[in-house]
Amino acid sequence: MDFILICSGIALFLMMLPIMYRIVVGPTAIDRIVAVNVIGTKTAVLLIIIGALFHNVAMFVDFAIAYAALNFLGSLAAARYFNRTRPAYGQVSQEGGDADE
Amino acid sequence: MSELLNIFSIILILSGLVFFLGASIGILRFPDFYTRMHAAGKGDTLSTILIMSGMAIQVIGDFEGSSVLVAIKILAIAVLIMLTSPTSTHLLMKAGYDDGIIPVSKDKKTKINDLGGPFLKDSLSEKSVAKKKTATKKRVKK
Amino acid sequence: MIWQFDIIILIFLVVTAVIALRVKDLLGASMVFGIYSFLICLLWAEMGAVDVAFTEAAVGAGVSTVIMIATVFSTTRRSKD
Repeated sequence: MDFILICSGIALFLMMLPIMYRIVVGPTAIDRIVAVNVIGTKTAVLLIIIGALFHNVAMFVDFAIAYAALNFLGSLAAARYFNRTRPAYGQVSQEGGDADE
Repeated sequence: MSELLNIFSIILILSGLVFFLGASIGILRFPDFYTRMHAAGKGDTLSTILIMSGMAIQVIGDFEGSSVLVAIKILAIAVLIMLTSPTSTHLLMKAGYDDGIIPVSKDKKTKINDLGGPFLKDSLSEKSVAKKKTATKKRVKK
Repeated sequence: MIWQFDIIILIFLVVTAVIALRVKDLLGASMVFGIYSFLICLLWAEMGAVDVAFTEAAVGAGVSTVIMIATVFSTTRRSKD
């Protein structure tokens, strides 16, 4: 059973590679935020798998719950910042912050 | 009995991996920002639910007190991710939409955004943003 | 200590660090730092130190990414080099 868990953990890691590629290439910044969000939830899953491999899931479960919440908080703040300080494209921003992308 | 549970949890974990493979390939190859968000929001959540339920069955093994509590906590994580991931994806999509990202459409000519409704702003893609900036510079010079 | 995970996480760490340097868009770079702290948190958890991993996750995902994004949005988006 442990072998299957190790293989699924490795598979999860290898499947993160396309997401890493999306982070490097991602045309808009929000693609990158989404990729970070996906990797965050996958890390929570990996924590549980590591806990199962250590045969002591109780210690890792609380940690994974807090982790999923923190990850949500991070991407929430990023998206929230995107709305508030970013001038709409309609009017030209006064302080001339180069909002090009 | 526990052998049956074991096999069932292995099936769940493997199907979770398959769905995550679909999600990550979707994030890689979808043509446009909104479709990629689609893949990220859904595939990721479904694979998390499947793997978590597989692990819960794994942990629940011998049905005595503490392991049932741990299994319930694992399912709580699945529910938490099921709630938070779509909302954050939706919020990011809204931020992207306000940012002026145009969904890819069949005929390249249509510059207007087909996501109509009350929120329709003159959202422009990167190229037309540059045009708009040069236009304002010329106006300033006059 | 699961050595298979060790190797993969360490390779990912190096890849993420290189990406963080190469990305031109500063917001992307701060996002990649978020991932860097995710992976380090995984490394601590995998080595058994759960409390250290938890503080790293709280700091990395919770605070430093948000603060970096805030600074990016108050300065310019494009790195000069």
